[in-house]
Amino acid sequence: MDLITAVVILAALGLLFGAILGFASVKFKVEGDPIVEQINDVLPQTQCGQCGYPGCKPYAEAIANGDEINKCPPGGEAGVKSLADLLGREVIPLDEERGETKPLTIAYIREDECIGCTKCIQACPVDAILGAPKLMHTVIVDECTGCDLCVEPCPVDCIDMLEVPQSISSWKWQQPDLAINIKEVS
Amino acid sequence: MERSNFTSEIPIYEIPGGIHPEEHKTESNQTAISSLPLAKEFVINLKAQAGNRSAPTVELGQSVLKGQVIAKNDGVFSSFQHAPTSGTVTAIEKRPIAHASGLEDLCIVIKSDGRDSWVKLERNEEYKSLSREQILARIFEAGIVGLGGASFPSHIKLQRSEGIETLIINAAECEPYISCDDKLIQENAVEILKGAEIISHLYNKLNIIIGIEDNKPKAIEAIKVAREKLKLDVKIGVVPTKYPSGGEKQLIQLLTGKEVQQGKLPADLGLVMHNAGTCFAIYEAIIDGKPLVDRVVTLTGNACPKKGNYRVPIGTPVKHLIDSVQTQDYQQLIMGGPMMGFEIHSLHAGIVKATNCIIMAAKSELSQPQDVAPCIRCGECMIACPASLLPQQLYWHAKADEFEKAEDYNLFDCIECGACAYVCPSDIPLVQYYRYAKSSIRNNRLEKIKADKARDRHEARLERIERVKREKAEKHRKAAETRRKAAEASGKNDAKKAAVEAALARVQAKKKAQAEQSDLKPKQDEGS
Ligand code: SF4
Ligand code: SF4
Ligand code: SF4
Ligand code: SF4
Repeated sequence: MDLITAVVILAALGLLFGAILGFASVKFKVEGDPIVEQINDVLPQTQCGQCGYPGCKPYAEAIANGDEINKCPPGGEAGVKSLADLLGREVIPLDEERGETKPLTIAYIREDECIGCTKCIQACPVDAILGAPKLMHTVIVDECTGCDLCVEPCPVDCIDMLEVPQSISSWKWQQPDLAINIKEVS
Repeated sequence: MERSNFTSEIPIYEIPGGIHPEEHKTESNQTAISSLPLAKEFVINLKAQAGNRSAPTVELGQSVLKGQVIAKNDGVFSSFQHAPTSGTVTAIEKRPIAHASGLEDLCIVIKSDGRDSWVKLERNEEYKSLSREQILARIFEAGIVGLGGASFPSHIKLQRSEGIETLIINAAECEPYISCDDKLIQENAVEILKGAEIISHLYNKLNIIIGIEDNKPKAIEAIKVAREKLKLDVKIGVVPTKYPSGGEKQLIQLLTGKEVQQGKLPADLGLVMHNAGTCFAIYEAIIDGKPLVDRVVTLTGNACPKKGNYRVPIGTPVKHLIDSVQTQDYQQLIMGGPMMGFEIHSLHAGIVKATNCIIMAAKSELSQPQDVAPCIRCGECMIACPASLLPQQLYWHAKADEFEKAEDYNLFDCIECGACAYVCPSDIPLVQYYRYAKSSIRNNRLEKIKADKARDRHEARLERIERVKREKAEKHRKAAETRRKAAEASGKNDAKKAAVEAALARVQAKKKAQAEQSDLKPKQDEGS
């Protein structure tokens, strides 16, 4: 008799918890893969494709699946470090084949030379270029990530990548160690 | 140095840490505030205040009068700028500015006509008939920002009215060398207190406390005389001379015993603090109708032959100042004090509203960055820190780019006073590390915002491309369907048509047959 009660109670509990878990998995379903999201959050979102993937998110997915963390030049050493921290992996030097970390540049279209072919618009991953067929195009400076992707497709070569001039609001104090080194060198 | 034997009228509390560097104030505070010859050209920096850059309202070649608005606010968190003298606008362009970076920024350049003639000013003794909003608007339009150093727009600080009970006038002026507030109080205590009265009126009366270090006996005397004259209830809080007692949080703690917690404002304690110079500027703006076009600047340092305090128009190039006092052989030019100031990179930069002092330092007057030794973990820096931080930990983390950890050690509570670096036996430029860490963190935050935006735009684009693709496919499908339907429909129609035609044919055939029949048959019916 006792045995039967025990079995019944356990079976009932099992069912109940199963139901709760089932409900929870539906109710609290996580959209997407949280690890991929976290990795993507660390990537610089330049969307330049230098990592060999068509954008930051695909690279984030690849990292989550075991790819190396040193393939993003815009993220630089600091980016590798944050990824290593996040994933508990070793800090490794940047993969030089992917390109070097350069200061931020912004695309600039020489508007009088633009023929309005819209090729750059199609290339821009963040819709930072404004224009219409046969009309001159221009770059929304604030939205441009400096990914370089619009330069190649331009048939008349009227897009320059210009370095962003330093401004008071983006200016950074120098790391004193570096400052001292520079002084010693000069 | 002379100490006041005047005992404080309110109890004074303790603050942690602090240092006692040589004061060097007597060199500059013995003579009356005077003026220098007018410069030929003025360079007014439009981003000199905390907040947004002011937007020019004048055109190239336009002639302006002293006190005329030349740039107005961009949003509320911004300020107005006025012509410091009469003359012509000769440039609106990027020029080197008085900033630690040595960078250029947008400036308005005015060539003086030498007449220094004012716009028409509207005096207003009866400010009490104005509404709170009207007074605040005048303070805003007079371009008044905090003159103690941070250049925070004053109208914003005065905005919040609920729960404010006390005005503290900051007259501590704790940094060595600087004596501009000391002299201003000695000469214009009445106007400063009237300015304080205006602020008090904005809140329907506040308790007024003036916090001052005991190394300014003459200024304390002047305040006593002035409050007697004005019959104004002002408590004088005399604090012992110790750097940095004039920091906002530090002076509040000294005078009230209360600490402004992290992320909070003095207003949360019912306090509002304004510098003595700012009170004077508010007086001039409201009573005399004068915008902020000049300020008192201490010119000092061993390489300055005419040490003293001068009323200098905003935008006066540094070069003009050092030429006017005929300095020779200075080794270093510092804007601000020796603790918190910065080295001037360009002599052509104009002074700004925050410029309280220029030190023309002779050789080996100020300690130069020496050979830095490793940290010996002596803990001296911790003892000296007025914000009760652990400077040594901050240093380690900033050096290793471990910004998050530095933040965990309350990096942003650091007021960059330099007390830690002053006592450090290893001569580590500690404050530079903190500034480096702070500016890196700020930049990273901005970059993160930009990255998030780029990600959103990229995702929106992918979605759009996907959608367009879907829509195209859908359109194709629909078109195909319509065609199919049409074809089907036309097929059906044919059948109908055929049926109709067949029917018609049948009817016709029948009729024909009938006609033939009737032709043959005799017409029986006709006769009937
Ligand atoms: S290399 Fe370019 S696309 Fe790849 S993760 Fe870095 S920024 Fe994104
Ligand atoms: S404008 Fe050119 S460089 Fe800038 S984000 Fe678009 S494609 Fe990249
Ligand atoms: S600079 Fe910062 S850490 Fe150093 S003593 Fe001042 S408040 Fe403390
Ligand atoms: S005072 Fe200098 S040496 Fe001493 S613990 Fe602080 S940083 Fe290190």
